[in-house]
Amino acid sequence: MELSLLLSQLFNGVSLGLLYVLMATGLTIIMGTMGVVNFSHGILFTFGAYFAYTIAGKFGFWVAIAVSPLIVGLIGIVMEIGLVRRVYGKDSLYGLLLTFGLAMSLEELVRIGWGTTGLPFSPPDFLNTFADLKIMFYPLYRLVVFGFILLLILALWFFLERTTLGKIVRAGIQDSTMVGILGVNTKALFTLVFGLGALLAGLAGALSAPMFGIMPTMGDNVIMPSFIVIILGGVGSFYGSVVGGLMLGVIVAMCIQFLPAVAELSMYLVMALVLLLRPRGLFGEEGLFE
Amino acid sequence: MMLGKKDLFRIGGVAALFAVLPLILPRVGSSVPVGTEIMIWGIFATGYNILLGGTGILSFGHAAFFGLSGYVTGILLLRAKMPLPAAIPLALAASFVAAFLIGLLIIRKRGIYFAMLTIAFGQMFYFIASQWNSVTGGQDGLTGFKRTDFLGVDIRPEIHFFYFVFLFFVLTLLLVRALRNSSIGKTLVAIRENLHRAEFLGIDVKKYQHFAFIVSATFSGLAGILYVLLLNFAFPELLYWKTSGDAVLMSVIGGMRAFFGPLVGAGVFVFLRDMISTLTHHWALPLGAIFVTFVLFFQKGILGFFERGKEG
Repeated sequence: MELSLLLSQLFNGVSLGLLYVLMATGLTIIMGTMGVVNFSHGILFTFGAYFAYTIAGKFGFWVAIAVSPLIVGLIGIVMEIGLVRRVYGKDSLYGLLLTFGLAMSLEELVRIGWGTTGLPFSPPDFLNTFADLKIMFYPLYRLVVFGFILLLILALWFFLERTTLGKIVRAGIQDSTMVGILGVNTKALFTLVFGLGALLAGLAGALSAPMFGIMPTMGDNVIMPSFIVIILGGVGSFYGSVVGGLMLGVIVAMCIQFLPAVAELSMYLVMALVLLLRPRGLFGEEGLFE
Repeated sequence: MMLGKKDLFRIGGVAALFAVLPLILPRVGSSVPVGTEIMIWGIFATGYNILLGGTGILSFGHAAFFGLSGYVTGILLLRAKMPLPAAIPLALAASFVAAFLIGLLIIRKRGIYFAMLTIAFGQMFYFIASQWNSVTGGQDGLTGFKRTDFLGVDIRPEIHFFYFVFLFFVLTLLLVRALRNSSIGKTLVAIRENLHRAEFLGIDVKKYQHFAFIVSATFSGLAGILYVLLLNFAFPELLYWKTSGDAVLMSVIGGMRAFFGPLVGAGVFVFLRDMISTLTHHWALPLGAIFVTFVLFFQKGILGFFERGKEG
């Protein structure tokens, strides 16, 4: 087996995994604090890509990457205030169905707005090339995205672990009622968390568009892996979604190269295995959702 | 007696209504297969609701059993040339066994975590169906088999097949009603209402929840078998998580706490989808909006809205 092939698939796996991390982090924090399985997370990802496509056509690539996630974050905030907020504290069924119906409508909106077929989206010319890494050539755009998401994950870690607001968010995952009793404005906290999750999904969509292309169902392809990342890592755990996301990305990429028949299936097999060995997931805490 | 007079009277009424449906449907611009489809989704949703409304457990993966039994039926008819009376029990057994095994792994989990696990396991079946080309026909689906006869009765004509499904439909209503009246059914409600209290009373909660999971999955399987026979076609979307979502929505729209709620939901679902799709091919947009409205404003569903306070 060639080393360069192995290495390039490893890189592909990590960049795929980093996208999963962005998706899963938002999902897991929303799930942990508000108890809502956000099915609309996939469509927010799709929005991120389509907005980036449209904005890039008018104002260029960099403006698109910067502005599109902000718009998606704003949409998330509007969704939370207008709709999602109404199901907090009710059976988790309602949050799930609400976002399910919402995703159904919004996906159709994408079809109406941009058509049902895929759209081409290339990175800027100077990134649309291969970097010479001595042992192999690798798409430069992927490397840049790679580094960017790593920085972003570091920033997220800093936010969650080192800032007061981040600590409040983490406390909310443990027990949001208690956080409310301690005098924190949980209403605003929830809106912030949902908006942040939406922003991360939008960013993941915008960044992935030049790698994987754009189509209305693209969100479907990432929401399932993101769920599995959360199951692997443990609900509500930031470290869990980082480790789970990278693990899943690499496993999927390796299977695509060496065992293509089971590439999609592999993630479900890994999930079943982890559940057998560690029923709470790798970083899951005792007492949450049991 | 597990079925009271009132139960028999009500189920008889519903059966009578469906029995004359083939006379009515063609006159109102619809067709007989639409009625067949409503009964099939009715079986799916009514069986599913043993778990959701009856035990308080949310599964988002029952399409896996719907599709699994459907595919097994198609494969047995096509590749083993098996007669239908032999294929149906085997196809049902497939869902029974699958639900038993998956249940072993996940039944200890709670709430949304459980729901997420059911989605993930459901998707596993979806990928198997869409990629195991040599057995399932892959993305294009499984074709080349046709329903012919059941114990000598020709079920090829649409009207014959309607009454074939009708028998299973009535049987499902009777069985599910009897189950929910039984001491097992009451125990499941006790678990739904207060899990910890049920545990303190010495009830083996996990065993009962596992049982409800398996039984509901088997009814999903039955619906899947009939659906595949209706279309003479099995395709991966049968197992997709969105199909599971449809079953959940039917239960909620009709009212998951009323016995006939899921059936009403199935009827409304099929009716709305057909009606809106004749008006616009962007039917998903208004349909999704209607679901959102229901979830926000009519959480007890249509039947729950009309008969407040009553429990099924």
